Amino acid sequence: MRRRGNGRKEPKRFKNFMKHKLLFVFFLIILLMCGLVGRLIYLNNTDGQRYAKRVLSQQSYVSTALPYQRGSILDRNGTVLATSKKVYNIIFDPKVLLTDPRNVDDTLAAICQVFTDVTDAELRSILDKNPDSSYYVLRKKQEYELVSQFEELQKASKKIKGVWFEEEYERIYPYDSLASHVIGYTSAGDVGTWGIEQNYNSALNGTNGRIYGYFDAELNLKRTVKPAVNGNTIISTIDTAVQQLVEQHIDQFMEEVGADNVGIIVSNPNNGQIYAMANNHSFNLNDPFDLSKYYSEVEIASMTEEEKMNARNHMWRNFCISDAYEPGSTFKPFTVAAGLEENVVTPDSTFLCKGVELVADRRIRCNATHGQVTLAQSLMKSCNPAMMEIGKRLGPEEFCIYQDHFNFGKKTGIDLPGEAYGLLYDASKMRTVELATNSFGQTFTVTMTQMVAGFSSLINGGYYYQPTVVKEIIDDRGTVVDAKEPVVVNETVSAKTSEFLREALYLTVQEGTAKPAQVPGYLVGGKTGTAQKLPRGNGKYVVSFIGCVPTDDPQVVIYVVIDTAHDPERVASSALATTLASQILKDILPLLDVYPEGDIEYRVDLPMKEEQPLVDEDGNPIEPEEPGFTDSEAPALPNDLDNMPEDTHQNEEDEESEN
Amino acid sequence: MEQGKRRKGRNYYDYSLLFLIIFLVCFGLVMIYSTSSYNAAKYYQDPAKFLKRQMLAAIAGLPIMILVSKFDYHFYLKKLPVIRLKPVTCLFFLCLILQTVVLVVGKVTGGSQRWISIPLLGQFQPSELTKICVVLFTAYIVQLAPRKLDKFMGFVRVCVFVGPLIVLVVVENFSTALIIGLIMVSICFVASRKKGYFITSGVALIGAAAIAISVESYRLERIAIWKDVENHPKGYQVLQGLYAIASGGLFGKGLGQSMQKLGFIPEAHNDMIFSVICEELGMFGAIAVLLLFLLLLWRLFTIAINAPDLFGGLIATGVFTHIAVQVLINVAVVTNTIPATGIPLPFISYGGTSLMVLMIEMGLVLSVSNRIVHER
Repeated sequence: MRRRGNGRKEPKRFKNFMKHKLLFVFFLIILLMCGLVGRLIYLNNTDGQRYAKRVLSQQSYVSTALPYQRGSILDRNGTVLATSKKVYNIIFDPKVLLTDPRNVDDTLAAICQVFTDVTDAELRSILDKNPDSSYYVLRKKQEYELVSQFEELQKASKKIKGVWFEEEYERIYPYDSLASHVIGYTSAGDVGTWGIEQNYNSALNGTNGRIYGYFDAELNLKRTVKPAVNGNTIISTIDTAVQQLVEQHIDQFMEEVGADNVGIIVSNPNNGQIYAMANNHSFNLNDPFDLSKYYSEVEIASMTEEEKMNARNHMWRNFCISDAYEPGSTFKPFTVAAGLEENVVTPDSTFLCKGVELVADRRIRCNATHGQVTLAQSLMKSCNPAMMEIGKRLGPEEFCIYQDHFNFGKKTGIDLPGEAYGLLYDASKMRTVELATNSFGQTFTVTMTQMVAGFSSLINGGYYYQPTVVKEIIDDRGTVVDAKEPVVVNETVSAKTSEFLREALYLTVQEGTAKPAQVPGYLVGGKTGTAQKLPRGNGKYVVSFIGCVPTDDPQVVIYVVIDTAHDPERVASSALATTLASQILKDILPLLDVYPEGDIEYRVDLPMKEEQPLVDEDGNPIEPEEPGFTDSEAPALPNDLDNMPEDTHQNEEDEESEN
Repeated sequence: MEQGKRRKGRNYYDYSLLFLIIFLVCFGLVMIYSTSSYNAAKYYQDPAKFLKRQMLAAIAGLPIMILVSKFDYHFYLKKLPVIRLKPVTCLFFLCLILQTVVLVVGKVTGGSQRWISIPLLGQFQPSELTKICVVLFTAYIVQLAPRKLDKFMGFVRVCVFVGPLIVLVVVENFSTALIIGLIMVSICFVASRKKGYFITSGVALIGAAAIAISVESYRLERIAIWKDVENHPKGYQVLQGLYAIASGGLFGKGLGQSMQKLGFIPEAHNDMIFSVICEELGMFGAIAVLLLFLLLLWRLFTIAINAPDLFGGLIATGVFTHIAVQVLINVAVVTNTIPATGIPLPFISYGGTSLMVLMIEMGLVLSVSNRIVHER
């Protein structure tokens, strides 16, 4: 070093003033660094909290919902009646796509290639109109196959941007309109709006899962997945095959004869489970708002929104539970049962039918002049005076207690929405005329479910089971959550009474008014009904048949109600209902494990007496007339408006509008 | 001339500086792994990709640094036997050529031509080499005639020599040019007895910088971002860095726990690494890192003032300025104290060339320290 300085005037050294200046630079740097430290502290103090929150809010996975799957609805044999399928909405994100316009062509081509109904022009116009949008729903409810195909493309090419998929569940009803009123439909995929879907909405729905992040004590980010809890599956008591056959028969009947309303219930009398429940205005569950089945395009186009809504309400209405009507003669077994229970009659009692009876100041006719009839014959021949006699012996108090006892005028508690009450006379307001008409099923209203449940109790030994359409509820792993045990609401009649009624009803079908209900090889028992509709004398009738098979050990109850058949000749003929019942029974019984067999041996001989021709006071024979009353004599329905469910009101309106 | 091998008294070697360097490099490796593993795994399927590369540079750099430190720095001022040129002059011309070449055939990355591909060695950034060159060359020019710097013309003379390099760098890389310029000015400032004309030339420099800024529109935009980082549409990167710094708190989220590195701060292992240090280690860690740099600067300062001769002292001054300026600018950019410009944090930010060059510079300073005799 010093040698290098040889020959120069001064040795080149790092002089003191240089040291001072370097020290000055050093201080300057320390000063600047302190400034930066100050800046750091300032940032942490002023923006720390705000920025820390933003950091968290940027973490997109902090909370992501995982949709649950709504439970299915199965029939009693496991056939799927309603289920939820995962579908995908295509979300288009023009903002992301346009950040690099080089990707536009490839992306659009890929979309059009996979989703063939999307056109390039459509996508370009979306890009033009919504360049800043990040959420444009391009198509809804796409199948998984297409989506996975697109995702493959996306994986293969880095130039496909700005397209993603949103999961959703869609409700699918594989049988379209089958058991539409029982199953019901959903809105928005998980809000049940009718039938089982509505009644068991919360059981069918699950809980959305979530992926979320949280911070532990050391501020470490932890991610937790709370899986979605899928909804429970409802196993209904409906038997798809039986339901299908019943609906086919209704369709056939509607084609051949037609009626304002046809309602049919098939159920198990020993536990209240309903195998089939149908009426003549089914609708497509996959498109419940579609009216095209009942109205032409022109008609629909000319309808106002209100008219459309009324038409839909009528279509959706479950006749079997929502409509109350006068049951007519099908109620007679109840009157007989009440008489037997109260011991005011015995199986040996006889009644005199003169074809017409004067009650108070009204003449009430029978369907024929039966003369002397036994109790069993009164049912077989559907004799009104016999019933009036039993009613009289019971008295209004007792009669009303029995109506209540058989659960009329109350909801049966069936697990479907929209059930009606029916209208009954109050005992205090029931005069002799009303008592008389009540005894053979007129001047009060019932619903089909009430009749089926009550009738089942008459023939099964007296156990009133709550009718139900749901057999059990299982979770998505198949574990039973709720095994719906049959609910005995009431014990209505003694086993003895029940046995008498079974025999009498068997004879009614075998030899009495319900002969057309016979099914070869089966012991069918049952009762027909023909009820005049209000106002009396307008030529409108509700004809019905309620029966059970086999009568010695009933396994199936069928109830057929035809409201105002479109055939003037047969409008009052209960044969319409009995024939229909017979046809249906023949088809469905094998499906319900009830097979044809030989005749049954009855242990008791029912006392029978020969029918005597009826004569009036002058000894002239009286021509049998239309049963029931004349216009002026007809007692009105109970006018207890407070107790009147809207359904009845609606029912009458419907009838008016359709005639 | 006699080789100054062993002199009377014991030669000094600044082991504390060596230790500081190794510590900083290792800390850098840890932080690079922390910041880059997520993105490396995501895009290259190898979480350690960036760590491995940086490690390679560090492992290669260490022996080179030791070698340079054991080498007498006066060698650079001696004429080479055959070509009759001094090594420092050779280096100067080499840099001129490389800087020209890079402008012609350089590889464009991120919109700037800064890299030359060299077979086997990968990519190389000539502007990094230029930094060493400027340190050595300015020191050489100044020590030739230090008295001339007492007048303004002497400073201009240095500028004329070093100027071409700065001009070549500034075309593509404003921030490196700024560093180079500051190294040069700092060496001149220390070597000069006067202060006055530095103030005048400082004002002139600011004017020149203003012109340079307004020439390129993106620089004006960066100023706009700096003024309103939260609302400016392109303030994303800086804002994400600020989020990281501010959310770190006093002790941070813990090493490896940064959330901002998960795709929010682009290339968090590069220039923005300090923000992740703040997030993971908190203000405590950040200040500790700054103190480490201060300690390093203190060692460089000590070596400079104890340097056996002017050349050694000026080399140390140059390196001192280099480190200080880079740390200050980097931290200032990350905290949005000044408009954004791409300057890596010495020893810690990812970048093989940068690390190697820094280690060679450290080797030079260690070599100066090696010439200090205890008995002084």
